[in-house]
Amino acid sequence: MSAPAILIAGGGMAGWTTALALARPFRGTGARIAVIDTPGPDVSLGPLAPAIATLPSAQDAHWALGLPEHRVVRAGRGAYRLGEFWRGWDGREAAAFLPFGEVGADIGGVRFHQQVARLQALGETASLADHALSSLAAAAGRFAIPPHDAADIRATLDHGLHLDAEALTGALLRPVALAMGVTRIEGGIGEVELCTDGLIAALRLDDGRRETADLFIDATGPDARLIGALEAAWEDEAAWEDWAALSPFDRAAAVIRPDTAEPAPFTRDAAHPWGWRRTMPLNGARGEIVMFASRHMKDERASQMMGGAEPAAVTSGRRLSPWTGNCVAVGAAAAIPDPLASAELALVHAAALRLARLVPWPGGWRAEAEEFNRLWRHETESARDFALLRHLLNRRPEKVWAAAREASAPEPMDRRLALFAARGRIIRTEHGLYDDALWARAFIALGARPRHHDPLADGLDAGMLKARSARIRELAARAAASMPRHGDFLARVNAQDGPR
Amino acid sequence: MRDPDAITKVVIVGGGTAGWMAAAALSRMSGSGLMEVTLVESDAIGIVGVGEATIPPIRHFNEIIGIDERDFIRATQGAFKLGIEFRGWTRPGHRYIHPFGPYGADIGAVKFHQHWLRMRAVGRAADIEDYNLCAVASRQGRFGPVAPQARSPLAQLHWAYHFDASLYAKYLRAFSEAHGVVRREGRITRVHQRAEDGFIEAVELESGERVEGELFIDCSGFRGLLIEQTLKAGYEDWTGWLPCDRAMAVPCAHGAEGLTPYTRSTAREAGWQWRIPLQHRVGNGYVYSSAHISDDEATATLLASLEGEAQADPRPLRFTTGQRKSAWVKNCVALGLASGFLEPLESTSIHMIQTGITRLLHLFPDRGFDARGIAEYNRLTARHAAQIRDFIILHYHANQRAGEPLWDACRTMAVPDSLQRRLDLFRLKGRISRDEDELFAEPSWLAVYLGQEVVPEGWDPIADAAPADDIAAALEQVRNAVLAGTASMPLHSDFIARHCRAHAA
Repeated sequence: MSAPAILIAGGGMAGWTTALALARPFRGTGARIAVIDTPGPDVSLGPLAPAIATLPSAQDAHWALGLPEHRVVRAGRGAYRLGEFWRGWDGREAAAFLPFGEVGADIGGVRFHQQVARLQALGETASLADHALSSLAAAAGRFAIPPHDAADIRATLDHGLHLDAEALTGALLRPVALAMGVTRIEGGIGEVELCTDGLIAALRLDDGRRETADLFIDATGPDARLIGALEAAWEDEAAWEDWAALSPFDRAAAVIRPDTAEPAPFTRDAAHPWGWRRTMPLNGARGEIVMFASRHMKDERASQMMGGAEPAAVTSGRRLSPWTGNCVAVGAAAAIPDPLASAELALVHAAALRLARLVPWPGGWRAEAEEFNRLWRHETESARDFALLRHLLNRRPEKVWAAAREASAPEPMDRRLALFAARGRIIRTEHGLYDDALWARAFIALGARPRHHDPLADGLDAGMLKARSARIRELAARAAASMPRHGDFLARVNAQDGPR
Repeated sequence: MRDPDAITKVVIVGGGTAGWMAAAALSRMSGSGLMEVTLVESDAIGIVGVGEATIPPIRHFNEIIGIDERDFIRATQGAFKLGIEFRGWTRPGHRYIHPFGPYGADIGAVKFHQHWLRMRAVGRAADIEDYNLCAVASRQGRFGPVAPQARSPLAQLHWAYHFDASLYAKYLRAFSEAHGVVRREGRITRVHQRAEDGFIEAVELESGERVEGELFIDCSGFRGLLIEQTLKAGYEDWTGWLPCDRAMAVPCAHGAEGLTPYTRSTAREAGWQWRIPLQHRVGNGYVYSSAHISDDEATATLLASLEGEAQADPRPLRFTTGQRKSAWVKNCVALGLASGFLEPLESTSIHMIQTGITRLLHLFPDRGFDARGIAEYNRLTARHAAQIRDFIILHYHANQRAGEPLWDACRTMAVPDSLQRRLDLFRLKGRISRDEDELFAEPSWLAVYLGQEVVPEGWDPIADAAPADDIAAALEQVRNAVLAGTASMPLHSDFIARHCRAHAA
């Protein structure tokens, strides 16, 4: 069969990740995969993503891309994260931890968080996070990779990463993709040539060269040079859905700064009167994001806080059909999630790996595009709502936070809030980026207390529940104490294969 | 701390498979004294036992309530099932198996069946069934553990059961009563509703006894005594896609074929006929469209095809394929036939009861009956039913039985958009679209697409990456693992005789 030619516009993290996702499976088929490596800073994941936090699902994605995780960590100046510390969202200065991985175990369909809620109703004081090894290890600055032995409580650990996007792209994604046979074309993107049927015919580079392909990938970031050019021909189908109305925070800045302290194995999110600030420890540095309301803080003040980084307008939103015609948008050209969702890379991974399984050439593309976009809508919706939870459930006194609470929740969110408030129930998000247990933990970390726990939890023997709870906490405490310090663990990862 | 809003009285109306499954699942609550669970059934009303063939998730249900598998098989005249054989569905004389479990294993990012499509195009692949353990074991009449020396990730057994549904209900009744569920015998003559909001307060029996409750579970069968006759939930009619509206059922003695470890569905001029082998007899039934055949002709066709002597008079059933518009209205949840009907072509009847119960437990209400919880239950229920509906429609739609009016109509009809989208995707390059929480997994869709000869125009281009010889060798390795695994398994009839022979009928 004849093999497709795929042209990826934009050489940032989104473009090279997509190149890699396509290059591996297509190696040996004769497919031509080329990246137009545009000059300038990488905005392919959006303006707030010099440093990113990944979800635990990135482990599987990196495996599928043929990237051993320790190489990703080394190349991306990476550090591990066992979860997120959330401070200030309740209006007091209490901190709560959102642990990744497994916490406790369901019993006959009764979720662990419901078991803990029952125990609390009986007067026990242990919180859900007290049962999480990730939580105890994070508080102690410790980290480990989960062993394969499922009987070991350390098997409940799971982690995401903090990564320096440009470092990772330059030191790993690009060289591996090139070694896989991807063609690199250096130059800026000029004009997008359209056919009369609304498909892309070719791209002009700024030096006049003309590049054609069967399928065009738009990884040009918020400018969305390719799919943006299709908007006129496809009208609503390719258009951008703006999420600005969901949040009162309209300005943001992001930066990576040197930091020689031992990196904490978690993300720190702090709510402030003017907005919030996220800190992502890296190896020898830290990534920071602030998002704020322009009515409550001046750009100058934010810039000072961020070591001179310039704030810009927040542009979160998504395309409902990032695959339109013969163009597929990835990264910020397709969606800009709220950074609190930690979803930038997860969305690129999901889109790129799905695209590799749906490349339509030779042949038509409509059925594939519909399938691609259908799943995309679920994924982006879950990212939108997961971040929105921290707006809707905050209990801060400031006006701007009150406004955040009052944003009208989109349809599935409304049901989700009501069901949790009543009985602590979680409704399934099909094809979402976060599992049910993580949703439950997010509610609980924000201090949401259901009116009553699941009545089925009352059917379980209280003595048995207490004993199990004590046992889990004891095992977790012992395991946490035995884990290496995160800094030591990172030093070993970075020393493998010798110094780089 | 007691929850003042907690439901303390549940009334289950109807004691068939649905009623007793719900009772068994709720018995944990009744057993711990938190809730009174009462089941009302009338000895005078029969059970419609259409659900004698099941699919693997039932094992999960039995495990959760703590049922011992062999004990259960013995008590229900049960047998094991590895899939369904479809005869004549594609065209007369054709047959295929929809087996449980996967075909081969993916290689890298490439689905196994994509390699198979590529190899088949150059004549280097065997029949797709040769790559599935359950399909091969079905053909050979085998069931039982794969011997240790033949174990392989490529030879994993997946199974479900055939059983007598009325014996299953009896089995669950004993279990439920032992765990505190109270059974009330009697016919319901009146349903009492609260004046202010129409919620059901009580059902009244012929004896005049009132059975009061806070939550009612309607398992009264097709008529939907509470959900429809009382609460007027409304019904969404799917007969435009699935025109069969009647069935004639009859058990018969075993013939020469014996205890095959699979269900059989044989296409007929006006519908299809099931064969469900149990230990003591074989269940048979003809599901047909009354617009295309008379009851007498259908009965005659059924009786003429029996493998042994009929053991009862043929029993007629009438139904309208479709679903209640809301399976949960006010304080009433409908399960089983009371919530809707889908023909048992893929043995989903009991499964739909099971998922209804699971959903109910997940969204178990309090006395406030929050509308959003109810809406979520109804949304999930409707989705689940529509997914199964689409899968069943696929069997009817992708047929080549030209010249037979029912089949011609099904072949040329417009299918639901949700199915058309899947068909379009498969026809191009054999790609399978599936919802995350959908019952039927990719291998099931693949089995029926290929079995019904929905042939893709090509295959996934990434399947061309590996050298053809390597892929041919990988396919051969799967085939050999399946052959070796199957050969090491006992015959199904021997396994039953040795481990779970039924109590005397």
